[in-house]
Amino acid sequence: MTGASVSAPFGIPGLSGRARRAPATSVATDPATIRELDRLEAIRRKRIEQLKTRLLYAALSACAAMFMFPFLWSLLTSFKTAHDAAGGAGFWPAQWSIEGYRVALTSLPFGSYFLHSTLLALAITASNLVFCSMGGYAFARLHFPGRDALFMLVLGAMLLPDQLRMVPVFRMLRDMGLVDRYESVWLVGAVAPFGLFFMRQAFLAQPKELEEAAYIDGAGHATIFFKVMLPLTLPSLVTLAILTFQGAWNEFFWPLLLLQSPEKFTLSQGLALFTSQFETQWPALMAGTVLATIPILIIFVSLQKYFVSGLGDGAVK
Amino acid sequence: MQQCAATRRSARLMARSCVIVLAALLAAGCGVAADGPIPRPGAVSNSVATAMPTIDGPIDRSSVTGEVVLFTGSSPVEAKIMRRIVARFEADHPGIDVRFTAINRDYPTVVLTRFAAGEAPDVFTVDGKFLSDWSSKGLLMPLDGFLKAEQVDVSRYRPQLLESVRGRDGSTFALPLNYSTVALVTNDRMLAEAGVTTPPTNWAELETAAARVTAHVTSKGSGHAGLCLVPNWERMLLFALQQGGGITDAAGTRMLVGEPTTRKALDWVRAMLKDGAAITPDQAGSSWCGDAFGRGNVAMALEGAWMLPPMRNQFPNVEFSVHALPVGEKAATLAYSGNMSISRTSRNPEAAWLLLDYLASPVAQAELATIGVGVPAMTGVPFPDDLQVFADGIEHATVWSLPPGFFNTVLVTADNEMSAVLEGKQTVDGMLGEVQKIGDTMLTAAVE
Amino acid sequence: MNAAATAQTRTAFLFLAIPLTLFGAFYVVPLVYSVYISVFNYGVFGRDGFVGLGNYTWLVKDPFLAKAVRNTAFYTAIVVPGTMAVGLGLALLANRQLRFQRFYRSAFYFPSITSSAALTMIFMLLMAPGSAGIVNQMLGSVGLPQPNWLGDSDTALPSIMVLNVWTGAGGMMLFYLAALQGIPGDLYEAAKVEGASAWQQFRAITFPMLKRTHVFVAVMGTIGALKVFDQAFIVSAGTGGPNYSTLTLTLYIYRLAFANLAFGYAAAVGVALFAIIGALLLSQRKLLVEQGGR
Repeated sequence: MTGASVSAPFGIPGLSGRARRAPATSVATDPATIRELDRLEAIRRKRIEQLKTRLLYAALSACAAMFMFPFLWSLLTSFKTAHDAAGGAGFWPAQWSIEGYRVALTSLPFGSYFLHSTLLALAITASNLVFCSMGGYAFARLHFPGRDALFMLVLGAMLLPDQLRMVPVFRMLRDMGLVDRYESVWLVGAVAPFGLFFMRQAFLAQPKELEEAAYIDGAGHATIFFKVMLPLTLPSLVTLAILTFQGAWNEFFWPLLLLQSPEKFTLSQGLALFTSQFETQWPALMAGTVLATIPILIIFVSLQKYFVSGLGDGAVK
Repeated sequence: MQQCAATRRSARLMARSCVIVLAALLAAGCGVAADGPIPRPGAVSNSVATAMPTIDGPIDRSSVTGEVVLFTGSSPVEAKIMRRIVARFEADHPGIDVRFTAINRDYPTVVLTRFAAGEAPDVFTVDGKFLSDWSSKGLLMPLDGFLKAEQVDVSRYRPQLLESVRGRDGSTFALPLNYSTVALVTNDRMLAEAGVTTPPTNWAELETAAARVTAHVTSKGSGHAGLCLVPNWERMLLFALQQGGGITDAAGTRMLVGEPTTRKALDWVRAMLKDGAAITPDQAGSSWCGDAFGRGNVAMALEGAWMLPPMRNQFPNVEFSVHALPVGEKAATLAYSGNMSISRTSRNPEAAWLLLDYLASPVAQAELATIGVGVPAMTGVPFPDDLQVFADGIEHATVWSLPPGFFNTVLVTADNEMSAVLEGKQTVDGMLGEVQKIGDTMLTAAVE
Repeated sequence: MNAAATAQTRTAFLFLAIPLTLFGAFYVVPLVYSVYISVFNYGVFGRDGFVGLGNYTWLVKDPFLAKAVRNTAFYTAIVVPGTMAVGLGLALLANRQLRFQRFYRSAFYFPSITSSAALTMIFMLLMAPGSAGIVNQMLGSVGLPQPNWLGDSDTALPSIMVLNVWTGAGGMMLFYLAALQGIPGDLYEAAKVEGASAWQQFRAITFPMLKRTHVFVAVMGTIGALKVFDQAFIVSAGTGGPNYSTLTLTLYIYRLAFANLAFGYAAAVGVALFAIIGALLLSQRKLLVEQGGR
């Protein structure tokens, strides 16, 4: 948000593209006058650009503030006293307190919940990256009978609400003897149809030339997939990784349904233990939420550059 | 240029598909012959044949072994105490292994999914709200066989509570652990500042007191008033009961909403809200009245013993007192009960019974009462002093339990209709008609 | 050619074996199961009598379902395009050469990383009625009316829509950002040489080049919108109120299954939803399975 007042002129591709020719109505012929007019025109344009830049940053900062508000609010609430938080008044804590964090960290085995969530989310992310990219590639690039029908089924099956999946899925996992084991939660999320769809679109977007060249060179589909196509879709893979990790991290219902021993709970289950119907310990709840959000935040910020740094310029562009 | 054309085509395609989807949805939505708000024939099925386990005599405790799965819908504080009781039970019964899980979110969903998958917990919490639905669907094991064989003295239970866990055929489907009635909670400083020196004891006094406080606190802006009132049927029922009315009669066979008592209670609630003597928790910026009360937005609230922990923990500086509910034509209030049942499909019913018996024992009830959210369901069991008023209300209380299908269908409809009435989108007659119709359907389905 | 086709089929089988097995187990099996139980009067303990299409004929007469369908259609029609537009706008903003670019990107993504339950609670606080909520305080300070956002049947669903556009836009931005990286820069160079304005460049290059992403986010967004549950459940405490205004399809299915214990009828509603939307997807399969280069 500190970026609001920055007004340094940057080359903004979208805006500088407005370079139009000098007005055709100009009747001046004297070279000196033209030079002078050009100079004034340049200054005028520069001022407009500066104004636009300022407006842009103002808009960006306003948006950023709006989008960050819920997290900021959680953060501030986590430092309030129980009384202040319940009072609802005041954005800033009247009195900074780490009581919320103390309650959160002592009333829950936070460390082990954290570990369970991390391992589960990593396992789910890994399997989605592997299986969804393989499946997505097959749907996008390989020809086989029934492909489009299968793909439509993948899309369509997502429409079945979770509320109807609970009973058959639970029954199946029970029959496999996996209830109250982490494998059950992992299996339910191991391959998301969403990931298959997403990776299929990512492969479709790649030019065929590189692939065809490799094919002519005698490479098989497996080689093409691993050596040529996967690197090309790295931005998409990173995007999928972030989304999957975050989804698995915040997943609440399947662990609740499938894990029954309290010592196996995940972080989101642990957080839910805080909230009971009538007693809402806001600072502790928010402290837990903040602690639970930080890993995702770190992952997002640190992986960002991989999918946005204009990666693979040569191959993609 | 070709590219653009292609894009436009696909955009058109997309737009068209969107339109088709929505048209189909809307057609499905609008082309409905509204021939009655009946959820579905057979939504409430007939009572499942409930074979009682035959037990000849007292269970030989040392011979019972195996695993028992216990699910409770407990808060962490309660779960801690439960865990302690369970540990003692296991020490007393070395052959029995209890697997205990406390679930305080989506409790019915988790329990019902397990039932549907044939993996039901053996012993589990059943809120008064779900009791008739779950027992009529055959989820709960009748306990009478055990009660008789073990010669359990049920006379120690409050009779109203015991009655509420019995099915239509007289079977006992659960043991009550605790309860709380609804009482009047007052912020005495706020009342005194508005010149109200004694807590209201009847409707007229309640109205006057609330109006006085409202007049006194208007300077604090909107969101402040004398009384907090939840505009739903459950709370309105308090006033209907005090008129001698209710949703159904005591036997649960006849609808009472058409009686003048309902309208009188409803008019009173609406008048209080309209005058500003009372506000809804929404208007006070709270999720429930206890929160509005703790924050000093209202001077009075109608709540149960669940008020006490948040008042202790979040609002320790607010001085308050608890009084019997102001009376109408007669004294009446609602009682909410917490019960424990055994699933009909339990594979180890004897061990389950032993656990249930232990959890419902006077010692366990006393221990549970120390949290201060509920009064022991048995008489003669000690409990903290501040629960006294909530406990005494039971003398003239109706236990909040209704015929099958009522909580989840009739009341949901009734509350939706009531919000429409308060917004002026539905007439009182229209609402009462809808509630009567859907209630009749449920009663007919239950009797068939 | 035939040998090559066979080889390709074999490769495809290898690539798809595991993903499709898992998909089959956790999505297709429940779907088949739902179709099966939907022709029974199916309760907690299983079949309670075959009803054939009885559950389905009841669908069209069910007034609650009608309300749920209307609410869901309205919600979908607004939220999907709304989230797409905001997400694309954010992506375009965040894709520029900016100072603190990473900060802005992270900021826009913030609502997406907070758990939806926490967000909904925060939102309920912001939108609190009277003058309790910040939104109403701001409205009040400029003399505007202060509605009871989540408590009034006219504004409850629109409030949830705003909430979900706000929280969903960050995710959409990610997809658009990833896709924007794939647009060759020389297209813009060429456009600039021809003197195209920023708007013209957007119309002629950016928007069409994002076609696959549009299809992807539109499909994902629509499926997500048709299944909206959490927010409606929390805001209405599971009742779908006030005045049925937040009764969504999945909330209704949930109520049928887990409150009324009518699993068979709940499945029929879900299967009907699947069939109707599935048929529409099929009719648009050209767009969805479209192949080839750009």
